[in-house]
Amino acid sequence: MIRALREAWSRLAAIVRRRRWDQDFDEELSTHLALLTERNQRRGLTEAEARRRAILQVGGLSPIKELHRDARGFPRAEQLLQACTHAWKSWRSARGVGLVASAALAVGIGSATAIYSVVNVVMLKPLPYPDGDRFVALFAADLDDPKRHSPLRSQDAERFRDRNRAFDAFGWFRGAEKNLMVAGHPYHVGGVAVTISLVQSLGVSPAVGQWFQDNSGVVISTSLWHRLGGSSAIIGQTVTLDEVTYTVTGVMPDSFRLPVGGMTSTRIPTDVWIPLDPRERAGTAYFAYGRRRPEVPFAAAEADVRRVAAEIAAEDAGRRRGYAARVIPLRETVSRQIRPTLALLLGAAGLLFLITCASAAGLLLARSVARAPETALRVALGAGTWRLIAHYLAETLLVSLVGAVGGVLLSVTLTPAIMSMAADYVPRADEISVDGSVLLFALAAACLASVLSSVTPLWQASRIRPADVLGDGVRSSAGARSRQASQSLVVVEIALAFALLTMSAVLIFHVRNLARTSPGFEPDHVLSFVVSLPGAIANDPGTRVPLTHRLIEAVEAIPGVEEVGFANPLPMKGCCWSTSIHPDRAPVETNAAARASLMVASAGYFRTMRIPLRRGQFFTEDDGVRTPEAIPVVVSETAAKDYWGDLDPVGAYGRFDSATGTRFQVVGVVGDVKNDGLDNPTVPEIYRPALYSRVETMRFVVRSARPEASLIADVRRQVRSVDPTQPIHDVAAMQTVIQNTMTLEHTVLLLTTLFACAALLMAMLGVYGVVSYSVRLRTVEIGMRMALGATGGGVFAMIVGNGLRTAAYGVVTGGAAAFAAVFYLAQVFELAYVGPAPFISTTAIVAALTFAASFLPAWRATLMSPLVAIRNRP
Amino acid sequence: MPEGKLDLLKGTLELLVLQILSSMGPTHGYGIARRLEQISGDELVMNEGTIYAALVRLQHRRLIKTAWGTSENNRRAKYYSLTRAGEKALAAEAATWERLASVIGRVLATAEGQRR
Repeated sequence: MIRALREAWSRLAAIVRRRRWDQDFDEELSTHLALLTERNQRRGLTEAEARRRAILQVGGLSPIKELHRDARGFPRAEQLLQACTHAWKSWRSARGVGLVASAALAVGIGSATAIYSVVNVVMLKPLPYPDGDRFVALFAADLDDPKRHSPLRSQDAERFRDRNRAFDAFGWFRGAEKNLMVAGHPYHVGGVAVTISLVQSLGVSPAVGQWFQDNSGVVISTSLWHRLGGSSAIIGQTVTLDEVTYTVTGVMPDSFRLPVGGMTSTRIPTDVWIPLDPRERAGTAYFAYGRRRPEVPFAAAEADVRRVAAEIAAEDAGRRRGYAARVIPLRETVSRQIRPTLALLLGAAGLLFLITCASAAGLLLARSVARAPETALRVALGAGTWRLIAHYLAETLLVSLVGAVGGVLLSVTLTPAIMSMAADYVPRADEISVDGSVLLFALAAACLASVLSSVTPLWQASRIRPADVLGDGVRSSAGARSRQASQSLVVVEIALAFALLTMSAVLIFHVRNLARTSPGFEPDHVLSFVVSLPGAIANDPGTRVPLTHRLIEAVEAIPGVEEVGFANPLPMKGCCWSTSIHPDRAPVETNAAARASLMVASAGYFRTMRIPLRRGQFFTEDDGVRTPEAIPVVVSETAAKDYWGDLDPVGAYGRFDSATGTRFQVVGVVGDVKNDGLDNPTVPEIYRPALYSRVETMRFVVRSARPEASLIADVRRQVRSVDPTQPIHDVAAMQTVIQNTMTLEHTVLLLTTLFACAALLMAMLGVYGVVSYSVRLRTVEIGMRMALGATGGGVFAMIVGNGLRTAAYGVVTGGAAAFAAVFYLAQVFELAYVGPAPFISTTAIVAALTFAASFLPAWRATLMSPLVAIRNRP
Repeated sequence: MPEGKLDLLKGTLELLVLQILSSMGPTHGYGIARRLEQISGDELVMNEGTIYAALVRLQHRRLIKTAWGTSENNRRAKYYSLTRAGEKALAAEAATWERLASVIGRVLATAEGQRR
């Protein structure tokens, strides 16, 4: 090793001190020659002959000098360097083509790099804990339904903690959003209640202070710390969260994540971490994290968890049959949901990248044809294949490196734009940046692009024979050969662009269908906001019911407000509760396990949302605070049909959950609402009155003709007039709420459409290039045709037909790619049916654009005078 | 190749040069060429200039060192001589070469035997 280094060093020194070595060798060689000449003379040769012989014996002066030079330096590297300087010089004389090729590659490299920078953070970057790869998340699972997994119950989490043998750290947490008073203003903050043992063993310490040791401590985020004033005196201060007082023990650094996002994420970013009360036994669900012992492989941890789950199932055989648990590497839980989407986007960016390579190759091919005489000369002078390859690679590498710089800049501007749209869907979105790995990716992409785009020009150049330098037709013969090649490149471009365009067309149709789907209510002029009640109030109807009445009255009092109501959950937000319905004397055979979604609603909710009443009546406010023998409920049309068939359900009785569950009486039937999001099928729905239900989260809806923005301040003031400690949060127009359910679709749609447009542009420039080049090559032929009586229309049709044929090849070739892409897309977005419409419209777009691209060259051809055309040799 | 001259195997020229320098002491390129011609008895085909490439390679490997001196005809000439590393390398490579030659010789001998 050291010897090799020393040798390399002395070779390098020889290159640097090249002149000195040359001089020394000249002197040595001349001594040698003189001695040889003298010897030859002594053998009786004339002086001139003796010297000639001497030179022959040595092996010729310049070959020997060349040999000497190669032996002392790095011949390959020097050739490469030479190729690079040559490439630099040759691009300086053709700046235009070089810049266009660089710009094309910048688009390709830039889009791929932008997507990669997201992939890098979501899927590749280590988790922000020491030994992050040993962390797993633990979920409850169901033996009968292998796809399902859910958070744990606290009793089970305790049993996993006590009985596992695989983990050296284990703990669990749940989301705990809190109301917090800061300087007299109430705020709603995201929070997590977490077991003390978990935070103590994460290996991440607060930036200021330390983790809490007992139930009275709280650790806050850096951003909350700044909102609280940002002084280091914060440690030891008390804060009040939902009327419970905690002492601040630490401030977490900005980079800290708990939860890490993805499958175990909470709804909003975490600002407070509080200790989880170990006595807490509510039905809430907990996410559990464990860290494998270093010597325990993942499979062993999995087996260990399965063993404990089997024990739990056996201990409670009656009710927990089929209970199982699943461990998933924590890093995978971050990326699992978004991975198919990212793969899709990376694939789309890859397609665009290939198109830009093809389009750069087309440009370089044209340039290589133009330089065919020069190349022929080089070949004739003895440039070998290696030298040609080095030369072409150096040229394209230079272009693609410039492209990579442009690409990185493009990605730096593109990524924040994407992220501002889809930040809610991308875990760890705020960590996305251009780091070493991203730069390396761009560099690798540039190298790949340089190889890909130099293949065709090289193929063209390698066909040039040394003898070509003699004929004057080298340019035209090279041109004729390369026409086929550049046409193939354009076919490839169209094929890939077709695939991309089809993807974006499928998404456009999908999003349009969604937008046309009626949500079942009228979202215009409705503002929604949330009031979260502390648990103590929510559990006590005596406090809660008067408070909700006062809140509704206060909001109703705002001028311009027409209707006010609240519900939980709100439509489109996804459903959290489900129940089963058991009508008395079951009029219709139903599957006992069938689920209906359950919502809590206030009396005014239906009127505010304009959910149509089909039969019976809505809830009434003055039902009074009492526990009736049957709770009045409202059901949706689908529920009425599913459970009562053709009978009128109004007045009918039934029970929730089981044949012995809470009794209810149906008072009304309302229209179906897409409570689970626009792209999910309609499910049966049953509404419970807020009066008789525990309500913690009140999702208010306010109908008013006033602009939503102007309403917010009034709402906030009115709510505070009822309870000064009560913040409102998640304020959004109902229209926005609906839009937000389609954010991911919109983002992917935007990106694929962007990619497809760039791809189409390049493909069409390619078509234009090929068609106008073929017109130039066929000038004589076209002139002849016109001289022999071909009409302008005929010539026009011939040339445009030529372009369209190229496009047809492309569409046919791209068809397979398009089908594959659409198949995958349909899986990612769970599209049940993709009609032929996207394919047809995409084909039409490609055809129309091809027509447009070949129009100009064809038009010019028809204007040619036959005589000029014939006289004007190509 | 029973008749005609022998081509040098790759890498063998360096070994020959080392051996010549070892037996003759400091020598210039011309001297090495003459000595090579003399020993090989005209059986090797080579351009004398290639010796210089071999010398450069040996120099890079620090097996030989150089010093300027004066030649027989009173010209400046570079004299090459072995370094300690060069002596060791010569011994090692000569041994390798002899082993290789003997193995090849044995293999060829069996082949001859079978052919008969």
